Amino acid sequence: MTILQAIKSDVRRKYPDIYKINNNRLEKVNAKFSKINFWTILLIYTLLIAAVVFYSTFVNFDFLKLLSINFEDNIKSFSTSVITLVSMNLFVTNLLLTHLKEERDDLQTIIDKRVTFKFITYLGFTVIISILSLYFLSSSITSTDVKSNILVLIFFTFLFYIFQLINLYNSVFNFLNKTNRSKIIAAELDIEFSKAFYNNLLKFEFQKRYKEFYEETLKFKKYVAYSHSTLGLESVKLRSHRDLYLVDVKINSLKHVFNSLTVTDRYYVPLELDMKLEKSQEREILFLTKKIKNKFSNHYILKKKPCLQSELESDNINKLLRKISQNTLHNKFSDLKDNLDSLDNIYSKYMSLQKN
Amino acid sequence: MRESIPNFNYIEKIFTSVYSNIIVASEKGNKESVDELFDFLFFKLLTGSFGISLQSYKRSTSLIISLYQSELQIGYKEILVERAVESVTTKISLGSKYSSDYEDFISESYSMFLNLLKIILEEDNYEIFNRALKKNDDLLFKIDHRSNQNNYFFKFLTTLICWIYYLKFNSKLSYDKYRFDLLESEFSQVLFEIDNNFVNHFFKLYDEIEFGLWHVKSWEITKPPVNRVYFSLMPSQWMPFGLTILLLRNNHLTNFIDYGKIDTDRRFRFLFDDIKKILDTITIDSEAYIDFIFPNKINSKDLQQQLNYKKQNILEIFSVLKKIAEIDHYRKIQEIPLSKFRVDEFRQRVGELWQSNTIIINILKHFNKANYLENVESRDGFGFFQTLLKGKFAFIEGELHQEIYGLANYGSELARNLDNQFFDRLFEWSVEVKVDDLKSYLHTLILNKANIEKTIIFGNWRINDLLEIKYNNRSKQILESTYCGVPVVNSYSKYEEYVFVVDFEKVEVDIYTSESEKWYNNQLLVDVTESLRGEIGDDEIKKWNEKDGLKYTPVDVEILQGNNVDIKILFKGEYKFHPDFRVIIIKI
Repeated sequence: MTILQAIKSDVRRKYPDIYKINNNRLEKVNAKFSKINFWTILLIYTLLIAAVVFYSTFVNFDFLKLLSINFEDNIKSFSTSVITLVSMNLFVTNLLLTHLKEERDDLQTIIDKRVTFKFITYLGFTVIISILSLYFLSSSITSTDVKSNILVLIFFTFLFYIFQLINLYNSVFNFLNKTNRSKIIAAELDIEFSKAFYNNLLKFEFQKRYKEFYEETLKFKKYVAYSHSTLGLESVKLRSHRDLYLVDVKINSLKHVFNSLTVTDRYYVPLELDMKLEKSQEREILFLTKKIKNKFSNHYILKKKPCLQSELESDNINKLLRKISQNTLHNKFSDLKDNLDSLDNIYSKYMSLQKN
Repeated sequence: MRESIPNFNYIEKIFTSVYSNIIVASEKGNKESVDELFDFLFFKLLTGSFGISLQSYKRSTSLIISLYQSELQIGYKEILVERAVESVTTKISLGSKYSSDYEDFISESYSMFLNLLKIILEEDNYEIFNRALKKNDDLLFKIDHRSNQNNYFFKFLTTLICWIYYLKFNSKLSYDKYRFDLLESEFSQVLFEIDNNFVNHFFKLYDEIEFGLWHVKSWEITKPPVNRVYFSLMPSQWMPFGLTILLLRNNHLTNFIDYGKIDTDRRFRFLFDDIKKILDTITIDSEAYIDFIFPNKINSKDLQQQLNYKKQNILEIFSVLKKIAEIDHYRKIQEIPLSKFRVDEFRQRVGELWQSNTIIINILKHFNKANYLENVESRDGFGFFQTLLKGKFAFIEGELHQEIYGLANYGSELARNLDNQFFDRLFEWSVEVKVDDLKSYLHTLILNKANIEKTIIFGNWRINDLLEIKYNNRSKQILESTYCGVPVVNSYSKYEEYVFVVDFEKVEVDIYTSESEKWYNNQLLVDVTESLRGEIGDDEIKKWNEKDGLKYTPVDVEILQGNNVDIKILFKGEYKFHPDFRVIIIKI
C-alpha cells in the first residue's frame, strides 16, 4: 500500500463524483487523440497498410475472403467521397470558428478539448493520401488480394471517419446554440473545479498522512532546521541524476524496515507530493542515530512527470472572473448576474462537498 | 476527511474577485453592479457558508470588514454596513433555533459585528453607526437573551460599551452624536437576565478576551506607527476603566453582591489598586465624568456625598475580592514545600555577591592572613536573620514562583558591614591626624617605611585626585592602583572623610568554616526556612490588616503566616590585630 493509493481509495468513497471526473479513462484517451499530430497519424496508418500487405502476402486466410470487391469502381467512388467529406469537415470547422469569432479566444481551450476536428481533419488527409497512393500504384501492384485488402482497410477507416464527422457536427451544433454553449462552459467549469479540488485534496492529504505515518506509526519527530542539531545523526537522502518528482511513498514497506530497527532518535523531514528533485541534487529526508543499510529510494516513488496536472487548472475560472471584471467595469449587470450565477455553482458545489 | 478539507486557492480567487470588483464598481458609480455583487457576497458567500464551512464563513466576514476599510465610496460603505448588520443580526437572532454545531458560526457573527462597529467608532462615523443600528433595531431586539449561547450577547454589549467609555474619556469619540441609548437599553435588559452576578460574568469575559475572543485583545485606539517602537494598548488598560464607569453609572450592579458566586480571579489581587487609581481621577471637579455619572443635576454637597458613596461601594467590592484572591493565592503557596533548588540558587547568589564585594577579607586572603577554623556552633556570627513576610513564593517551584529582585543584595550588604566593622576597629589602634599636603605626607611616609609589601592605602574617590592616580577598577584587580608602590583601594566604607594606611603584616582574620551544604563555599551560612507560626491574637490580625489595608480573619492570618520565611545569613569570623599593629588615619 502506498500513501496515494490510500488517499485515492478514501476519495473514491467520500467524494465519488470528484473521483470519477478525475479518473475518467475515456476522457484521457480523447485527450491523447486530440493532441496527436498529422505525421503520427500518417505513420500509424502507413504501418497498418504495411501490416495488411504483409498479411495479404504471407497469411491471407481463405475463410476471411467474404467480400467480392470491384477494385477499379470502388476506388474511384471512394476517392470522390473522401475528398467531399474532408471538405465538409473543413467547412463545419470554419463555420464554428467564424460564428464564435468574438468568444473564440475565451472558448479555445474548451473547443480544443470537446471538438476533435484536428484529429478528424488529419485522419481525412491520411485517408486521401492513402487512397490516392493506392490508385496511383494500383497498376504496379500485381496481387489482387493486396489491393483489395488495402481497399477494405480504407473502407473501414472511411466509415470510422464518417462517424467521427457526425460526432463533430453534433459538437459544433451544440456550440452554435448559445444555451447549449453555456451548459458546456458550465460543465467545463465544474470539471475544472473538481480537478482543482481533487489536486488540492491529494496534496493536502499526502502531506498530512506522511506526517501522521512518521509521527504516529513510526514515532519519529519532525526535523526542524536550526532547532535540531544534525551532529551525530546519519542522514538519509534522495538522489537523482535527472529532474524527478516525488509521486508516492510505499508506507507498508517503510513500516517493515523501521519495525525491525532500534533507533533511539529519529527525525523526518516533511515532504510534499510532486516535490521536485532537481538533477544532481540531494534531499535529506530522514535523520537517524545510526546508519542503515537500506536503499530508501526504493520506497519513495520518483517519476519524470508530476502526478498532478497543474496546467490550465484555473483557466476557466480565470476567464469567468475576467468576464465578471469586464461586466462590472461596464455595468453590464444582467451579464454580471449570469456570471455570478456560474460562480455560485462552483461555490455551492464546494459547500456541498464540505457537507459530505 | 471532511473536517480537514484544506484551504483552497480556487475558492480564494472568488473572494478576491468579489472584493476588487465591488471597489471598482463603487468607484465607477455602477450601482446596479454593486448591488449584484453585494447580493452575491451576502446571500451566496456569507449565508451560503453559514453552518457549513467555518473557514469560508470567516473569510466572508473578514472580506466585509476589509471592504469597509478599503477605498469603497462612502455611500456604498453605508449600504455595506446596513446589509452586514442585517445579515449577522438575523443569523444571531435565529441562533437559538440552531443546534450547538452552529455555535462557532454565531460567535463569528458576533465577532464581525463587534469589529465592524469598532472600526466605525475608530473613524468616529456616527452617521453610519446610527443608521445601521436604527435600521436593524428590530432585529437587535429579537436577539433572545435567555437562550443566547455562551452569553455572547452579554459579552458583545459589555465589550462594546467598555470600549465606548474608554474612547469617550480619551476624547476619541463624539459621544453625544451617537445613538448609544439603544445599546444601553439592550444592556440593561441583559443585566436583568444575569442573576445579579455581573462581576463574575465580566471577569469571565475578561479572561476570554485575554485568550483571544473576537480579536479584542489587539484593539488599538490609534494606528500603530510604522517602523517605530510603541506600547500596544492592552485590555488591562481599558477593560477596568470601562468596568469602573459601568459600576459608577449603574448603582444596582454594586448592590447585593454574592461573593460566594464569584469565581476567584488572579486579577483581583492587583485590580483594587487599578480601580482606586481610576476612581482617584474622578472628582466633582471633573465635569465630563460627573455629567456622565450623574445625568440628573444635583447640588454640590449631595454630589460629593453621592460620589464618595459610589466610590466607597466599588472599593469595598474590590477590597473583598482582593482579599479573597490573596488568601486563595497564599493558600496554594502555603501547600507547596520549599524548593531546595531555589534555596541553593539564593545561597549561590548571596555568596557570590558577598565574596565579590568584601574588600578586607579578600585582601587578607590575598596576603595569606586568613585562618580557616572548624565551625564552633556556640560561636556567634555576624549577618542577618530576617523574616520575609509572605515571601515563600520566591523559594518554591511551579507557576506560582516569582522572583524577588534584589533579594540577593544581602550578600553585598553583609560584605560592606564586615568592611565597616574592620575600619571601626582601626580607631582602637590609632588617632586621626590632619595633614596639609596628603601627597607629600604619604610620599615621605612610604619612603621612611622599611617594608611596604603588605601596606595598603584606603580612601574614597577623592584620594585618587589628590594623589593624581587612576581610579581603581573593581571589576579587575582590587590592588590595581598604586602610589609609590603602595596599592590604593577605593573603599566604600562609611568613613568617607578618612584615609587609612594599613600594614596587613600584623592583621589576620579567623574564618570559621563548615562542610555543611548550607554554607556557601564553606565560609558563609545562607539558609531559608519556613517561619514558625505565632499565636494569632487580635494584635497580630490588626498588624496584618494595617499592613495590607484589608480585613483578615484569624484563618486568613494563619495562611499568611504560613507564607513567611526566615532568612539566615551569617559570617562566622573575627579580625585579629597583633599588639604591634599600627595604622595611620588621616582626615582629609
